[in-house]
Amino acid sequence: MSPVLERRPQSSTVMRVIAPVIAALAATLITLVLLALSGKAPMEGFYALFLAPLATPSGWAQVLVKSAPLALIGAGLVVAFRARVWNIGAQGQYIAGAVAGSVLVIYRPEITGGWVLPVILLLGAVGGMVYAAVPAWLAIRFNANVILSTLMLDYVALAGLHYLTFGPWRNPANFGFPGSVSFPASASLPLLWPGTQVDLGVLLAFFAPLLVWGLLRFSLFGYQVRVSLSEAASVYAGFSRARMVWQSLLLSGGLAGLAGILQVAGPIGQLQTDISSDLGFAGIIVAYLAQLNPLGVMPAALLVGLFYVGSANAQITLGLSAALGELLQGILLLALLAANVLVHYRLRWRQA
Amino acid sequence: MNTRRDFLKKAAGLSALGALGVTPLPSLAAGGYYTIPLKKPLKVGFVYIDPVGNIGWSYQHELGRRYMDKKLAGLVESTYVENVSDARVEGVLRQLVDTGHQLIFTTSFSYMNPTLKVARMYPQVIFEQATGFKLAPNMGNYNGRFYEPQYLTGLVAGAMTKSNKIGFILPFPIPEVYRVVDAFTIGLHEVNPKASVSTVWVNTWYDPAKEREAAQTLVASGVDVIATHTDSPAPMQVAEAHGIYAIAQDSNQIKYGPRAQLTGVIDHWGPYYVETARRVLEGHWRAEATWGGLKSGMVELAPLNPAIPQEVVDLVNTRKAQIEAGSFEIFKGPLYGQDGALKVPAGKALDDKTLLGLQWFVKGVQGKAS
Repeated sequence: MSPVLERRPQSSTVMRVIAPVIAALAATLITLVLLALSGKAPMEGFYALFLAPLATPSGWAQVLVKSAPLALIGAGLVVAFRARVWNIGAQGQYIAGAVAGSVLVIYRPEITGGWVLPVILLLGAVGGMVYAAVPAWLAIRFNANVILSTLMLDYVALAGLHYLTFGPWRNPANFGFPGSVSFPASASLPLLWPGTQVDLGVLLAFFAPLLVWGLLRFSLFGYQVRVSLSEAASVYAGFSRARMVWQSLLLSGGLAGLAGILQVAGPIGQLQTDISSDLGFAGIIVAYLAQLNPLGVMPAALLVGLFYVGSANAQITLGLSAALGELLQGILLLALLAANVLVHYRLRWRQA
Repeated sequence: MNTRRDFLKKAAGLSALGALGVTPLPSLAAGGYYTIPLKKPLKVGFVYIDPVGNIGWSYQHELGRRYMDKKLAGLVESTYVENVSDARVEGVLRQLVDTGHQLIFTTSFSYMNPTLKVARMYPQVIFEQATGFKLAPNMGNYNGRFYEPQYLTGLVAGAMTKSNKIGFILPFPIPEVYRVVDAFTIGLHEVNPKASVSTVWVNTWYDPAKEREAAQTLVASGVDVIATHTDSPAPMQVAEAHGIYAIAQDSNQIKYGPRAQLTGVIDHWGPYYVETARRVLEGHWRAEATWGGLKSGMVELAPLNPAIPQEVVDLVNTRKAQIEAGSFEIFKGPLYGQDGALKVPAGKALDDKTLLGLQWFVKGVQGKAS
């Protein structure tokens, strides 16, 4: 007897709901065993990693702050991946947004006025879109592979950010240390929850999955995206593939760019070399955890955000090493993604 | 040594004092001391930029933390968070405050602005930030004068090189890096005016693969001593494998280069952590900028390789004693820039303020100063 995966004629609605539960249980079990093997009290470790952050209001605030950019990036990637446009370049688009949105502050640090913040956010979104337009153009004009071009452009963006923060955009009053001037109040997102880092950006970010859901559900564009799942169907319907590549890259790039500037004008407060651009990759995980469903993006982002906060918490309260915390979270993510396979496939035992 | 022992006596007496420094609000007491309503034991948090591992920058801070735990057992309770990227640090600091930590050490330059931001929000917590320059009523900073031992390693390198070519692996173009490279080169030229320093920027504090590649490039270009301001043991291992010499950075790396390690720069934070925690406990802490050199013990010279000739050992020991006594200036004129232009005239020396913002290489350093 050997196990085989057999495609279901129809994806299973039951499994769609219980797959995450199975995964969570399996991962919990593995986590407890690993914690015990590493000499930590399993239940305490589990509590510190996954539950303690949710036990206090400030913990919730932290989780919300960490999840917000993931929700934005993830919502955009859901559209791209549904349209079979493999945008792996959210990291680069996030950086492009952070950089483009910072231009105004760098060159006119004295600006004030209510128009400043909206313009900065707009610049950020446009920066992400422009950066995503490059692989779109390459794909349409030269049939370049989107996976490769978006991924490679990530490194170009990182190098560019390095150059700017160490070079021309360096704060001259900083003794030659890297990083731009701090964003003035007029260019910073207002706090919504005093005493925490929860600002307007968090609210905006959590609107994005809802907007994307509405877009996919009610617009012609959304219909085209849904049809794009099958190449034959979309050719038959007469939809332009080029248009789909353009639109989905611009949308996902724009949202990633917005996420970038929301971090810089929000919790981080300046353009610096490290702006958590690896969130661009975590956004891919969020999109798949959400089963490419915009409404699933919010819980998926919250879960990954919880991981970030829980990992630090376990180090503080239990002395759990950063590596072990990340390992356990990786196991949970892997289990969740693996369980998603059961939505479309069933496990059968076949005679060897 | 006397002061350290005195303070241990005091620390032992502290627990007996009981309700010490119990004021309802943080306040500036007489003598400019900043006191906070203390909870016992004092919970101390440390934030590290990379994984602790068993060598390098964060490892040395971790050794300091353990030293403090041992010396102040019963009075303090400490914890650390490792591998905290710049963008994440503010959240981690808030978590440390939320879990009752009242003294927090943040050990990367890049943590300066987030530390300041959080310090302003939590006046009942005292912050100490390594290698930055900003201060607040409840935020001090501290740093080592790494350039002092690095000048001494330059003396050694100058005596030991045969090819007259030294390689230096550099992380980021910040003043600290210019200081150590310049001090090293000044020492190098004191012993061997013909030697030159080739530089490679790797744009990372810790990346074994990149550091290895940089070291191999330097070896291929003919250097026979490698120095670095990065944290991994890769350069030392490359030197060992090629039968040349290397200068250790942050930690003693003798197990990675038993034959190759000439000497090195070692960070030693323990006494400072003990002293700072003691001041907080006694209500004698105030926000200060500390820049400790060889004399303070915050930086040390690693043991000298037995292959080094005795007269060089003597010179190193003489200079070390002079630096500790304050009778020797490393950055004294005449000093020339890379292009040969006179930067510091004879009879003058760079003061601390200039050194803190230093942005140029001295003559004899090859490679672009960016």
